[in-house]
Amino acid sequence: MKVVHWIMGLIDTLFINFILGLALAMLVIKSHWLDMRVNAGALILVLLVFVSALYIVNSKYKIHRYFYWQGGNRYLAILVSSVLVIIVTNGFSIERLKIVLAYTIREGFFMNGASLSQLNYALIVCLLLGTVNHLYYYKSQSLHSKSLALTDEKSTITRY
Amino acid sequence: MRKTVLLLLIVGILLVSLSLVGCGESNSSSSNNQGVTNNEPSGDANNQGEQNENIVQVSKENPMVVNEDNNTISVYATVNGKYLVEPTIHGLNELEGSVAPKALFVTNANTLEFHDALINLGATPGNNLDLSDDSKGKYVEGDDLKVSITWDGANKEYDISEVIIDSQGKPFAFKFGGNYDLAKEKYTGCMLCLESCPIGIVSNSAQTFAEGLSEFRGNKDILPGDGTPVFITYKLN
Repeated sequence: MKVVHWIMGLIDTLFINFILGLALAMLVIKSHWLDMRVNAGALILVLLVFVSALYIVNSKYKIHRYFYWQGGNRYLAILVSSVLVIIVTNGFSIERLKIVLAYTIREGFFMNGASLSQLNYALIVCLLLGTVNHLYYYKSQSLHSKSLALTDEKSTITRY
Repeated sequence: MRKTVLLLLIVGILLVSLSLVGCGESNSSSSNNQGVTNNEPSGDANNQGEQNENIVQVSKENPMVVNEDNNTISVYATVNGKYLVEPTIHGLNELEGSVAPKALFVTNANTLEFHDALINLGATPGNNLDLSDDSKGKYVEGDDLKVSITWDGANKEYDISEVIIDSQGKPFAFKFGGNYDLAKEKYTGCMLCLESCPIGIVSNSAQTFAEGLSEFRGNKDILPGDGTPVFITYKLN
């Protein structure tokens, strides 16, 4: 069970940071100078590798205080602001979103054999799965926190 | 138990979707072996019948074909869909070049061989620009080239000005810039630059070097989608 919970946490970490990375890539693309010189999609890959490393290291040395995407409303704030950035930088155009997002992911993950439509389907599937995973992970985290609180209460009563 | 099953389901769907992406073929694969004879749009069957005997078809396997009779070079390329909606300064680049992902069209043809082919046709390079500040604001020189483009299913052979939009509305005026040494040294793979360029083999003399006065995008109302093979023809005037 712990392993399952750990994996769900990792998927949740990758999910929110993938969206954050995509938003950052969109900002880079808006700078024509940067877009002509930088692989904006590689930002996503670098961010994912970085947060995966943080998450794995946290299993041994508790460094979760560095998890900027957890705690309070931070997760929701990052999600909402990233989605807004993605939509605004693409001018609220579905056509642009269909092309630029998929192209950025293809370039960033070096998936030259994939077509844009294939990547768009994969993106939708990943977003759906990430959302479902997050909802279950969040629910299990809440239950886990409540059971810890109950245990503390019981131990206090026992102590007294 | 329920969570385990759910997690396995999530991971399974993720793996299946990723494998679909990894195993899938790009749009261009269906047209890998199709080509047109030099300077002929795909719909012109009569002329193709007469000229096919002596003309090698340009294709992915044979990405550059020189026709000395017509003074043309045909290049096989594919469309980078991003630059139908985002601006770029790179028109056609070699896949091995460093800025291939930033170009509107990408080809397997070799940049330096392309330069040599133009020389062999008798074109005179300008070689008047370099990377110093002195070249900023200057226009590329060299022999004039007419550049056109077509693809399977196109209505006609389009002039490049019809399929690439200059935000300033200036028509393109391509010249043989030359720049063999810088092209070899930097290996950006630039075969068609949309402004005057000291590295590109052919560049647009209607726009100056390094001033960034205009933005260029592919015309998405005319050009085909991402990955579609196109056939670009350079004709020496």
